[in-house]
Amino acid sequence: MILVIVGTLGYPFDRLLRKMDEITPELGEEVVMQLGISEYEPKNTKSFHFESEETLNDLYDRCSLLVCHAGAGTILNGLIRGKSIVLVPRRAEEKEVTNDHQLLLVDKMEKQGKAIGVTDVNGLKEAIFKARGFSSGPAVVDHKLVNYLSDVLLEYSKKC
Amino acid sequence: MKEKSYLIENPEKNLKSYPRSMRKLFFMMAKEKPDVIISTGLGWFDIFVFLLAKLSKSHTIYIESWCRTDSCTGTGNILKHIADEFLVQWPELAEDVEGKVKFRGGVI
Repeated sequence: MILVIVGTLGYPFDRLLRKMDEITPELGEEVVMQLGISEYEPKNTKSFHFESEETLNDLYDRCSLLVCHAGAGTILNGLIRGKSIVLVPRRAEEKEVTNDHQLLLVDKMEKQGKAIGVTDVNGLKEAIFKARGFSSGPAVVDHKLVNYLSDVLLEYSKKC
Repeated sequence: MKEKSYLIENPEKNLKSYPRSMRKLFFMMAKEKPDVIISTGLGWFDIFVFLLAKLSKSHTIYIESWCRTDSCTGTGNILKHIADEFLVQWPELAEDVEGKVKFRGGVI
């Protein structure tokens, strides 16, 4: 199953959803899409606007491929599960987000070999075929930051 | 350590809740007098939190979002000057603003 996630931002992302819906019959695999506040009504895929964390975690676990906007939470959910990921950055000029920082994150992920990025949705089908079976393996959670914060807290708790 | 939580609505999403959220924030800060405040950012409301923290002499740590790879958020750029520690999650973003912007690891 291919999972499409557009996140919880207060902007629609119809550009991705419309294209995904259009190419679904050619993918030979079930597609489930999360729509957020987008208005587009898919004809070829199962869809929902928002769901509980539990349901989303189950979908992330079961999907074979993740197609999503370049939001931190969504990407991390895919990376920690070692999923194949296709990223479509939201664009400010399309009124899908307030600035273009998603473009830079996609660039970073591509350079690190963690995902395949698509800026023009016409290249989406090709990217999905390319991404199938392509994964950098489950990401290793970096404990350095948490350890650093624990040390700071410990220091302060000693002072009390 | 005992855990306690307060739920304060982010007024960025609903401006009408500003007075209520501010009231809750004042109450929480006065009651708990936190030694350390760690924030991952919640927009402009964060600036009030950090200014109050200055008054109550709490140690403040702001963690910039992992999604910011080459520049900080608007809130981040202001809090760089207010927070005691400013952490970014990409090493290349750690520039030296009063020696404060540091990289101490990211989520992955």
